[in-house]
Amino acid sequence: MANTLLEVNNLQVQFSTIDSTVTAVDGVSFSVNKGETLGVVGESGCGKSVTSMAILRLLGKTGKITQGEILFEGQDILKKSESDMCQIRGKEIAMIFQDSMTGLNPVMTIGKQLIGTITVHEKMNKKTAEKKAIDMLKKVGIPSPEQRMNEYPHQLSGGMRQRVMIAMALSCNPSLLIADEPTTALDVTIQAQIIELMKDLKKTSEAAIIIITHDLGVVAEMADRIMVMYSGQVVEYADARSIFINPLHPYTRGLLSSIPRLDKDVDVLYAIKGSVPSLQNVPKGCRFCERCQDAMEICKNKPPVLCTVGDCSVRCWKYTK
Amino acid sequence: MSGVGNILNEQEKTGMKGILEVKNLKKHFVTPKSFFNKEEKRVRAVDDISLFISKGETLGLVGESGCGKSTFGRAVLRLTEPTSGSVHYNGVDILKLNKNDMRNMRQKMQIIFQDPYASLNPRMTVLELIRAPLDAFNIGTEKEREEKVIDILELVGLDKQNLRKYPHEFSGGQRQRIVIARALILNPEFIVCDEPVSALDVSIQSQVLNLMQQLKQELNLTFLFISHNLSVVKHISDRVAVMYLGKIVEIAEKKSLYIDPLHPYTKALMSSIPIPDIDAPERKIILTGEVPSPLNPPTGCRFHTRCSHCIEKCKVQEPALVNVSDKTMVACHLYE
Repeated sequence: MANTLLEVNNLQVQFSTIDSTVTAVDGVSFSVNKGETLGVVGESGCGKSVTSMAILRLLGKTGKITQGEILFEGQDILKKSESDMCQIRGKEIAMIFQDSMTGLNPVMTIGKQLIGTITVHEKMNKKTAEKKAIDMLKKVGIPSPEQRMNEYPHQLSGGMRQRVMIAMALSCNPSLLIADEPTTALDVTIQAQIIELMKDLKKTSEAAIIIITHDLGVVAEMADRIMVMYSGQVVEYADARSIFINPLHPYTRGLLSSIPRLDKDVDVLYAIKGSVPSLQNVPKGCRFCERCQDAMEICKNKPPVLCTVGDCSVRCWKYTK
Repeated sequence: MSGVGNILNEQEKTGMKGILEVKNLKKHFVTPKSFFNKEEKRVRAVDDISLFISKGETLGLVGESGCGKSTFGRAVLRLTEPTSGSVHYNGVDILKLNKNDMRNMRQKMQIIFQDPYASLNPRMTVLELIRAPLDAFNIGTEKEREEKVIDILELVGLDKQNLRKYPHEFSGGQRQRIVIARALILNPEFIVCDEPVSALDVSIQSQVLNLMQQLKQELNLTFLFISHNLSVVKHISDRVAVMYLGKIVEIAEKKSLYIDPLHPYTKALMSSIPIPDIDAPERKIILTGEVPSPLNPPTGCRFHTRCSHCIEKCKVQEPALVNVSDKTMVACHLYE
């Protein structure tokens, strides 16, 4: 498929602690086409951020990719040298982090940081880079960008900082943008602004987007396809429409019905019982089995594999034939 | 709902409005003058708020960060001393109580904080944590206290095997249950819930919300439920107040507020929430700009800098919170 930009096959990431090894991501496979938006949804600790960090090979000293391959434009990222990676990060694959205060350098002006990113990746003199930086700030809707260039991150509000992060991520025209909870730290009215901005950018630029979030409302607005993760595994992977209209996995269904909603009234919320199992002690069968209302005997003993139902993939014994 | 209505009628007869009545409450934070700071700066975190909460009712308080909703919750309990105004609890002005009387009053008024990781002492066991209020007020013998703790623990859905465990052994949702148990052990009537489910994952959030609703009914509790999440507030509240920059802009029964919001800010707030539905209608109103600094709030209506319906009058004259119907109050010149 010439249209595939990123292909992740059977990715496994392990973190070693003093007394044990934790498998944070276990056999995750997905692909992102050019210009497509993939939403990755899951609760804290399900491995959604680790997956994105693995794509950029930013796992730190304790994390290791123990299995699988990550093909970006047909080439395996895991086989690249560190200096090649530096060319890819920021240039080909850019990232927006959740916390814009820690994502920006507090002792450098916005302008310096933006110009720095641009000159590292593109052969440009400082003047043109500065012009480009101002253009980018304009593009993400920052008022009086020339003046903002000389300001420090703390002088901007949270929403403005997040806009700067987006400007920086897009400044080298990446073909893939990974946004890890880009709106979680923001107020709802600002969140609406940022989502609107990202939707606009999606239309105007050709970048594919991976948006990682716990908020199903955000992915409903943005994503073309959605991957639901639970305890380090993909439990459901389908186009956005079928996830919301016809969710298959009991976890996806539980998640959707446990959110209090503005447009619907219920007396008692649906609650998924129990809590997420510890990654150090995953259940032997299906990882969701203890919390599942449809659990069968087989679920307790044998882990289900991802199977295809129509256009969707789902990891559940109910759909395995 | 009808229960709340009856109480309202009764209170109208006696002239008392609800279990808690707040009048003109203000909390200003002042940065004193200094060598570097020639002018005194005043943050009007809570600026002239009046409202009441009826017994057995949940009043939701929503607003964006920095609007003063948490400060209001704390000022009501005198956890931070209000600058002026009055807070009548069951007819007693608690701002006039001396330290000792206030301490006794606190048995009836409790608070649940947002972060269940920060609000439990990591070096105390569950038993010690939940028993602490009983110890503080010297209620019952050692054995009675422990029995009471076990009862409460069961009530919030935790097993008594957990008594000797430490907070780190629990998940976020379970910790919030422990916090709730501790708030309930003195049989309070009124609880301020300050973002109690914001730190929890969605699947756990619904468990805790259901628990709180069930406890409210069983124990006839009154809640002031503070949250930035309009969907959560909608689920749990009877009435909802919307705050913006230290002021209440709209207060109404839940149904009418969510079906027919009046204030432009409430409307914008409602339409900015992403709905988890692929066929949800496009959002209509997106506010431009950001919340102005409370150090230097806009003149006139505080919302006029971001309001699409702003008229000349809004820039100079501050609108008062007035009744537009029986149970709906709104502070906006459009409705005068």
